[in-house]
Amino acid sequence: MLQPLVESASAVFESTFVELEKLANRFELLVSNSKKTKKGISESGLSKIRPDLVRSLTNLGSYAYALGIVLDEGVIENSPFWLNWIEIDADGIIQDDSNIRYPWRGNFYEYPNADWMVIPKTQRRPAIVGPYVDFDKHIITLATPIIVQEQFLGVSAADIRLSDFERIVATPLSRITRECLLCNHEGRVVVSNTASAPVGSLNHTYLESGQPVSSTGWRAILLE
Amino acid sequence: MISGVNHPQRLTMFALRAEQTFGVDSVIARLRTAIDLGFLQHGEMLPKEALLAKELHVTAFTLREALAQLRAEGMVDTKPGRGGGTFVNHASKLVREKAMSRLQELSAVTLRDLADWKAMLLGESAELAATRASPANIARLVLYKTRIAEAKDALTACRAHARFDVELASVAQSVRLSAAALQVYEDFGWLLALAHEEQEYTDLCAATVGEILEKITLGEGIEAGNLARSRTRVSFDNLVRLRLKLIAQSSESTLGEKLETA
Repeated sequence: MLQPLVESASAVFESTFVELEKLANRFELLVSNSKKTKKGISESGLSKIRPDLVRSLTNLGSYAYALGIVLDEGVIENSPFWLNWIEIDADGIIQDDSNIRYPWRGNFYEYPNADWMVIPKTQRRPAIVGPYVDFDKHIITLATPIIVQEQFLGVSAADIRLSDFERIVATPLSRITRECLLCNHEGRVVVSNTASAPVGSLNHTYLESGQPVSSTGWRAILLE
Repeated sequence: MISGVNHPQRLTMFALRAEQTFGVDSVIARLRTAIDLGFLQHGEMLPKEALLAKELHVTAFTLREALAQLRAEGMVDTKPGRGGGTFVNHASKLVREKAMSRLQELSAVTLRDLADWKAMLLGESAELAATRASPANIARLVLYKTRIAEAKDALTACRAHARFDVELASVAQSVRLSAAALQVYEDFGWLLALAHEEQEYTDLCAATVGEILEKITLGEGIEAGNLARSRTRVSFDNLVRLRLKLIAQSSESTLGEKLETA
């Protein structure tokens, strides 16, 4: 009964990770190449990733609304923070980072400490973080580590609006007559069709039941 | 000097407010907020004027006027010549004096109203967070609590407290509460920084935050909420007393002047 729900949720994550993996590989190549030049790693060299970002964001269309590369602290000399981030605005136009409204949140939320940076950094694996409150909306962030010669440089990451994700899984969810929910790796309810499991609530016991959503740690669960 | 500020990604920090207002006042407000909340640090050079004006969606003329006023308030310094530019000066005495005079200008009822609002936001956030906080959430809140407790100066303490409050609201899984908590610091960061000048206030805040965290960890929402509400109101007593003291001092000095002229 849960299979269509599990499949639609998996599809969102799997296709997003495919793009993030591509971006990470491409960026690793850029870094390796620019390391060989006289100039070394430079902001202008790294900015060559932008056409790839646009392509990935277009490919992800209805899933992610923003993506980019965020480097760890101190990777580029004299520039403690570096990111190349693009976003599709309400009119469907891809905006450059300078037009995004709140990337300063990086300063406030200290992104080097954010889970989507820390998990790929310490565990050297892709991570799904959220849903969490990102100033004016709930989002889910997916991130893949960028590693060059054993050194962790940062992540390729994408943001998915919770509202978009809900809409994607709404159809399979609506076909399930019993009380049902999707929870994340913490046991937090992401979407549900019942008031007895409100979105955002936390219940550890969910982690021991239901069916896994690919290898994300997320689960689809039928309530008793 | 800290470099990297000319980088376009860092400039959007000035777009703090959702509504795009124009004119000198809005530029001053946005720059002041960025400085108050620590996005721009003491000694940091502001981006080049043309770049900054573009980012703030104002003309170079408007920006220059705003910078002139901030300079008069002592929030920025301008050094001419090579290697020169406009630098953030948060340690300026003038900034502190300005905050003092703004506190005097606030009415007692405005101050009480702000205390009520902050108490409500924090109380509601704490109550919800108690049932919604994951271990990772709690770990982050503990980090901010430690930062408040270990802060060496008023500004650091105030910023750590701002981060805690906004994080708590976000742990409560509420977009509206987070935005409102941040707004309080955008509007009154200068005031709360003044309160943190008394170590006693910072200690009280760290203790309160610690107790709220204990209740949240135990999942005791109502208790966490009540604690947050009542303690927040009490914490404003410092500001109420400081305000009265300042008013008394200034009226004594005016009285003194009057006597001298007589």
